[in-house]
Amino acid sequence: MQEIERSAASVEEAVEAALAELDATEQQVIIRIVQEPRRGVLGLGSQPAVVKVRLKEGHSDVDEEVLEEQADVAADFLEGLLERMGLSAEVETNLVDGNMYVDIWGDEDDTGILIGRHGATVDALQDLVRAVVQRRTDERCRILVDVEDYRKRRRSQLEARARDVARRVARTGKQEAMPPMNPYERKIVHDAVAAVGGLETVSEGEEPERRVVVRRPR
Amino acid sequence: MKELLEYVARHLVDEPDAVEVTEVEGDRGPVLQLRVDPDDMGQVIGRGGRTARAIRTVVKAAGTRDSVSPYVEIVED
Repeated sequence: MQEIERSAASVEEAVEAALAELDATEQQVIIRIVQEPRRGVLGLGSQPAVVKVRLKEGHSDVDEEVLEEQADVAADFLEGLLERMGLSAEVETNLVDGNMYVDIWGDEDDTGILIGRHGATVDALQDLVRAVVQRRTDERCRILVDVEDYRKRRRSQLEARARDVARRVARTGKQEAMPPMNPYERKIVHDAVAAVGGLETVSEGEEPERRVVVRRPR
Repeated sequence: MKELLEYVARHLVDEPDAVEVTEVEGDRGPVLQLRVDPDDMGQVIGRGGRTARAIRTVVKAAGTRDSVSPYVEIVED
């Protein structure tokens, strides 16, 4: 089961950062405080708060029926949205490995607009879809919105890159930092490295420069 | 563009009839002022301003082809 470690000036901030990364609420996780923060004198001897946060078992087993229902609401909303954006595109829902995708397909010109710079627009579409579905169904929504498989292609690229780095770190023992990524992408890296096994990952730095560091356990 | 913003906002709030969008000309170009029921403010802003940011991104994307990028202002009366 995936566990992530985060540090910040206070325990509260560290937990908040971990929850954002796991895209979870406090009720869905188990929190362990590894180190209490200490202020120190004149900047000496100060230490940050460190927490370990792990998703509770069964949390990811969202009922397929609920997902289907959420996907229908999402697809209806997106169809109306695309029409009002003046774009012609098709929307379909697909369940892949327990993840519900709402996929958008269309002309290259239109889908380019919908992906946006570094996926900014597809991320925004997903945020809106999740907010709308959550309001309608009163349930947490984990739907993924994808345009022309942008997210899936990016996922396989990230997984491949993470595995390469993991193998290299396992061989050399030298820790390596991945490029800055958003929380969703960092999670893909954490999971891919965990699947290789024998290594640990931590996120370091502040958004939007936050990056995953892969290293041997200390 | 106005219609797009109205559509998104109405799907996010509990009081869709209270959603109001006004087009005005700002110093740096067109501005879409969005007004919602005071109780729905949180819904259109979202945790850490996330929903508001997503709304702005989508509206901007919609204007790409016509090279217009209206700014979405959420107005609190």
